[in-house]
Amino acid sequence: MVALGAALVVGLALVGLLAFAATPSSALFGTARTPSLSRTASDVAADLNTLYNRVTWIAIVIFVLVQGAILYAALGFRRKSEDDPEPVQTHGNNTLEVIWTVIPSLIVLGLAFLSYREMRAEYVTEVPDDLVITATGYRWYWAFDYADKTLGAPSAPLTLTTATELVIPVNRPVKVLIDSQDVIHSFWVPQLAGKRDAVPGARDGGYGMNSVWFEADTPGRYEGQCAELCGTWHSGMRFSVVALPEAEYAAWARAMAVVPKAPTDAASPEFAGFTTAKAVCGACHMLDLVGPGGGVVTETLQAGGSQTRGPNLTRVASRSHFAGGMFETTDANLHSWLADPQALKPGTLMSVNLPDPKAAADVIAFLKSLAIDAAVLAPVRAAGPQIVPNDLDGLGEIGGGAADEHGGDGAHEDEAEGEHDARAPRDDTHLASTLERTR
Amino acid sequence: MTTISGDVAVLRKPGVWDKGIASWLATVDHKRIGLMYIVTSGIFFVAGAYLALLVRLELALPGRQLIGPDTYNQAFTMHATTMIFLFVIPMWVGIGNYLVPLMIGAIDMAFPRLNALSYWVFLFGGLFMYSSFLVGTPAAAGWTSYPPLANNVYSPGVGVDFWIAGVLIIGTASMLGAVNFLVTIWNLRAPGMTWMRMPMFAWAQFVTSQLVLFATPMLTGGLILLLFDRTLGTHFFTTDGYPVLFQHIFWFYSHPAVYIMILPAFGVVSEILPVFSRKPLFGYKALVFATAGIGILGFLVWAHHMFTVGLNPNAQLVFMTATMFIAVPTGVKFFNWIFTMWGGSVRLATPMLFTVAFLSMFLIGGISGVYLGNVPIDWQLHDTYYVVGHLHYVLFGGSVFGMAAAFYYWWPKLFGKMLDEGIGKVHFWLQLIGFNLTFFPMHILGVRGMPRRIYDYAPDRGWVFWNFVETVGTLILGVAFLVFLYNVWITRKRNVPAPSDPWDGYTLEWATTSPPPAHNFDRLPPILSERPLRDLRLARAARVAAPQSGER
Repeated sequence: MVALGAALVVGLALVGLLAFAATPSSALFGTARTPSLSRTASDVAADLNTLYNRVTWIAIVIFVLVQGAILYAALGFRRKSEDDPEPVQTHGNNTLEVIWTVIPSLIVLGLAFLSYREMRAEYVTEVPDDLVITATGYRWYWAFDYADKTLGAPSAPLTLTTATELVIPVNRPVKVLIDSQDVIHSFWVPQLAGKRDAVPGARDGGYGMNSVWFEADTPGRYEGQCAELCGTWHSGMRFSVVALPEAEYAAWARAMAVVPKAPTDAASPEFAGFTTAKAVCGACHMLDLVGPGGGVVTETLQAGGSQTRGPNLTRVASRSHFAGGMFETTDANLHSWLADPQALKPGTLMSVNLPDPKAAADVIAFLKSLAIDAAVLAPVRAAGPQIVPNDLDGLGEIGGGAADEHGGDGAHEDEAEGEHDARAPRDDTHLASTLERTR
Repeated sequence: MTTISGDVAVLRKPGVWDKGIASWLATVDHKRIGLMYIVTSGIFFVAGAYLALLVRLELALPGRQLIGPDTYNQAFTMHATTMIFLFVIPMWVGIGNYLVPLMIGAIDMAFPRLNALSYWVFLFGGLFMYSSFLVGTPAAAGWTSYPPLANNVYSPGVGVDFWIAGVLIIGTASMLGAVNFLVTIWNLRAPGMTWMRMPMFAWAQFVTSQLVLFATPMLTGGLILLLFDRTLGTHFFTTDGYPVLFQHIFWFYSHPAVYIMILPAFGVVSEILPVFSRKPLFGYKALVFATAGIGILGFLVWAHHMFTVGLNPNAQLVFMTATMFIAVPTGVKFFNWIFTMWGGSVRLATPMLFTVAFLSMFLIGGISGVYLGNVPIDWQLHDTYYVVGHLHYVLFGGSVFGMAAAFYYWWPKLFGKMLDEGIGKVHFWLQLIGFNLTFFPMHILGVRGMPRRIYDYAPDRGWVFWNFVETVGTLILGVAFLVFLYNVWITRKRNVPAPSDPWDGYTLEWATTSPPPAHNFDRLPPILSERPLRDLRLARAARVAAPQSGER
């Protein structure tokens, strides 16, 4: 039995080693889309990562010392035979007790001080409210409402509404207010900032919304995800943040802020789609349009009340993903979704469906007619997977602390130089498909 | 029993309740009640492990493997609920029930009937909770059951109601048991057993029982309010009230619950280390104060589970510092344990192997806890797989390894037979390897941004490999448990009687036969130190060496 057990243990170890050796490094160390804490894209996240690394160094020292002492004490004083004499009967040592009470207390105070400094930086920093985005969690997607004073005016900021894809400018502080309309969610983009819970009733209940802020320093796409259990599709409540250079962001935001015109040609498929959408989607979704009368009339599909249960549909065709980031916005996916949303995402609130392919095609044509200009959208689509150097990410958190600590900029330079040959083909296909989509 | 008109006196005739199953139904013997606790929570462990297996198989690869998202949410909700309320806590109650009266030289618990009541309330509470699988759908709002998710709008159906009622019933059993332990330890210690001569396991149960007694009512109250919200339409935790209030109430119980689950394991290793090192416990008093200190600090740190809900920054600072300071008494324990072995005559039998592994694994859980107690780091790591890794290093690497050590150590006392050492070592190595393969990669996934409690993940996130490794580790853990069951079976089949004191033990339970008689002790040795059995052995050796004085 013992021999069998030993053989089993050795066998397992060998299989483990072989599996480890045969595994591609992307599997071990993450892919270009791994939202790792160490691949920071903002000062806020970089500070958190620095603190993490400092604590890790202290932890490694403590672990090695204590683990070493445990193993030495357990293995270094083995009983040779049952006839060994009883060892010296030591009952304790008060000096040692004081030492190992005081020294850990000092270490703990030191750690607390490191964290205190970080908390102070977070809470004391005056965050400009130049660009404020309210992120509202719904089961199961995030809606985003912008108020940008730079693009508008301090008294009349430029406003726009979108969902699931948050486009921001680089090198500009972004303040995100976090709200929920149903259960508690948590807003989290690991590469940009720590998470904050979205507590329902925060806006209206008087206890105030949570907020985070960050200033993205590198253009790219950063993955975010709800981090508080919120029901069936908690796992599918994803979103991404696309950071663009200011000019590209401004073009995108201005285009998004324009209220598109409702279709007027009664013979067109878009008009048929509009009619269907008003009848079918209106119970839950909102749509902002300039009315057919010519005046600036905002039509909503919403049956009543100011809150929508589904995301605003105006620019749905200009977002890379839909249904909480679970599906890419392609014609085929939209067709499948409209035909039977419950089949793709059982339990979603969207219970109506359009089994008639013609009606669905009309609705899709109508929604695509509302999309913003493809050229303006191109940088968002091109942001693709974030391009990172071929770093040893998994070890980076544990071993690469010192390098990250004062080499944050260096890492980003590497990114800019684009040591991403392996990823290049994939990026191209991504780009090609997105361009195809936008045409 | 079948006829109502039968003579009641017949039922009470001696013999009916003293044989077979009936004797177990009627028993008030702390040892039999302890065994019933152990077997019952062991069966719930199997159920909880099965649910964990479902979770791990589902996460092995991206996409749907076995179950849908709702079933998945039920699986991890009931896994955690089972493991905490129906396995770890009652298992320690069972082991304590059996051992504490023996260790302090008592005939039984202070209130034997109350003891039986606690067990039966616990059993039916567990069965009640599990009946939610039969009558509808079990709870799927996580074992934390945060409203509004757990209220009747977002969790319709009876699942959460069954969950609340089940936890209330089990909590009642727990409080009854705690009172019993406290009174027993306070009043029934044998003559000579002062507080500072009491075995550390009894100390651990003493502090644990206080935590149970003072923390559980808070959970009871909170859950009743949640039940009102669900059934009567009150607004304690809706957006008209304050959803976050529930989290405060919940964690005011559930953080001390962590110590309810781990302090008995601290007690176990404090018993095993001296015996297998042939040295007294190093720094006995320091360990007592550290245990009490952990118990007190355990009440002052609950909000470290809530650093992302938007608490006042000053409050966060206080809770963070208090949390980190738990590392100090815990460190005191570690150093005293290490110095108990240091310079000793260490015998690495299976109980000792599990004990040393406990130290190593709990060390990792303690260190990862410092990360999570750190406010800014927790903003990143909260609700990620890092937390899942951390809590399993504490509750599996800690509590379950401690239980394994306890079983191998006290099995001869409980059943009068020694578990097989060779098979025990196979069990040990498989469990150690499976455990680390399952739970260490969770830290890696956490820092790579994988949230906990997600049913599925995108294949491009770089999370596939380590998830697959974890599932392989889980299967190895399953094999380790089967090896343990085989050991139990073969030990029973061989039926080789164990001596009263197979390990050269130090504490009173080894002074009686294996298993002990119903009245526990024919005669108690004098208790002149915290190691009465060593004193007894030395006295006997002296008598053999100098027979004249022995004949006086």
